[in-house]
Amino acid sequence: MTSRNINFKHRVAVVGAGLTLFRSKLLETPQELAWLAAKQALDEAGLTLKDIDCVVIGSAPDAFDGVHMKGEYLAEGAGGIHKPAVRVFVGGATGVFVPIAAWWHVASGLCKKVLAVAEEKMSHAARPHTQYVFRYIWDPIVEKPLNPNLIWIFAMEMHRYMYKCGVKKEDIALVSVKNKRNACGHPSAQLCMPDITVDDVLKSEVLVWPVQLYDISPTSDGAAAVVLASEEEARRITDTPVWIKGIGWTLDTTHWTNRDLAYPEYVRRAAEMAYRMAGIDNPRKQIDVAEPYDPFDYKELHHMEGLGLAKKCEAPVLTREGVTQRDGDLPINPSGGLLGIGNPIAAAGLMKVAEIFWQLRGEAGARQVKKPVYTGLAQAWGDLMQAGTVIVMGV
Amino acid sequence: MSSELFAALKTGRLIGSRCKNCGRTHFPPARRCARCGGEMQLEEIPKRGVVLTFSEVYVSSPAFTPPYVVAIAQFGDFKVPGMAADKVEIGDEVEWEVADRHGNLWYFFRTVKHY
Ligand SMILES: [Zn+2]
Repeated sequence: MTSRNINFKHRVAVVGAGLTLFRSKLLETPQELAWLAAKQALDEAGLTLKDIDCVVIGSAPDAFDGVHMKGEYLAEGAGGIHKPAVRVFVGGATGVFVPIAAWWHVASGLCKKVLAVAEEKMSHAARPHTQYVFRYIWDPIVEKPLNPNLIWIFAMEMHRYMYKCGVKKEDIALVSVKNKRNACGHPSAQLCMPDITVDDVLKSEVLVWPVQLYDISPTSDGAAAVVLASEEEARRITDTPVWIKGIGWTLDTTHWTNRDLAYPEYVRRAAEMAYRMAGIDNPRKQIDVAEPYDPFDYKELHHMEGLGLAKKCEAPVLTREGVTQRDGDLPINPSGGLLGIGNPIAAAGLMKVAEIFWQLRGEAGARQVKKPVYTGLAQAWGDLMQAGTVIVMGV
Repeated sequence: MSSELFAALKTGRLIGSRCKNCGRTHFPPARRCARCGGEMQLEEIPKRGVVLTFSEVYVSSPAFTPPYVVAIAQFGDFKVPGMAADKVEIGDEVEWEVADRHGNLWYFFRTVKHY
């Protein structure tokens, strides 16, 4: 038990969200993308920049956008100049960490209205390929000599999970099929594939066995934003605020090879912290809709188990039974997820928070889940399979 | 404790560390336990182990020629990542071996053959 009870002063609500297109090689600059998302979130809340007290920026490695001091650079795009602005960064977990950090600002009483923006532009700066950025994140002694890349460490994790839980590639491919089909309802989606089948996934190019091309989300450019407000302000702004009920984040050891790869402990701990704050003791029953992080298809299953939305090794069964479909009993990644909408890293995590916001307001349009939803969850994961970030929201 | 690790490799040994407080093992050897913060002591890693997981790399950077196999194997209480000399399956028995690679001493895994 590492998480403790959290004392906070103010209830905090999300009152607006915005999202750009997710695409490879968008022509807008990172600053422009940040502003497009920020403006949309402000418009949704009926606010302007003048109303915003503080700005929180989230972005993954500087090397993607090719700009060191990316926080300062993006803050300018997002409207953070002459305001208290800060950037947070926990690798792929950043997108959900942005509203967590924005929550501190409001819950502490320091700010009343906060703009939280996440941006990533992966197509231009990293040469010869985006993956090359990840050559500089490893332990210099043990891992560097193996010339690791992200795909092969996840292949190891996927393989161990498959072995320990007796999961077949066919079961895992179902996640990719579901999410790429779900994405067809999303106006930002990069990879809507309405007719994709399990067979297509199983026949796609082998990158690092057992990972194949359609097991992975694409590299993308894009930005997302949300506006957070104190209770008093939120009630003035909207009749339908979505409350942040719980937040959690934890870090596990960088020496990922020393861990049990079949189960994401970093997610469990982060979820436990968020659940305690939200008063959730049976997530499977109390969470109505969830957006777990799905840069790879097996990660959706892995994370569902870490979040307690399925028992250990049970997520593939729920998936096979259709429970996780948009019209199922526990819709998982109704947005289309990273597999379908795309993966501009930090923006992808915040996209999930935006999706839960829209789902809980009943504003998800073609993507609206069938059952009535009152409590939702978004989760992201990053660094060397070690950082977990969780947010629980409710109406 | 990488200097100790490199010194061990020179004499054909592979070492990790074990927490004096909680018993958690660590590879590469560390000064401080990742679980409890306790002090650690060096320990020889047993020669023979079992493959926990592996990946077969088909797409890589120019430093290596695909396909090649990378694995994590369990040697006694130690989990060690490394390059495998041959194809492996989860559960296969392997031994680590020290060899010269690009002018540096490093280790790799070799499958134990049962005749
Ligand atoms: Zn210890």
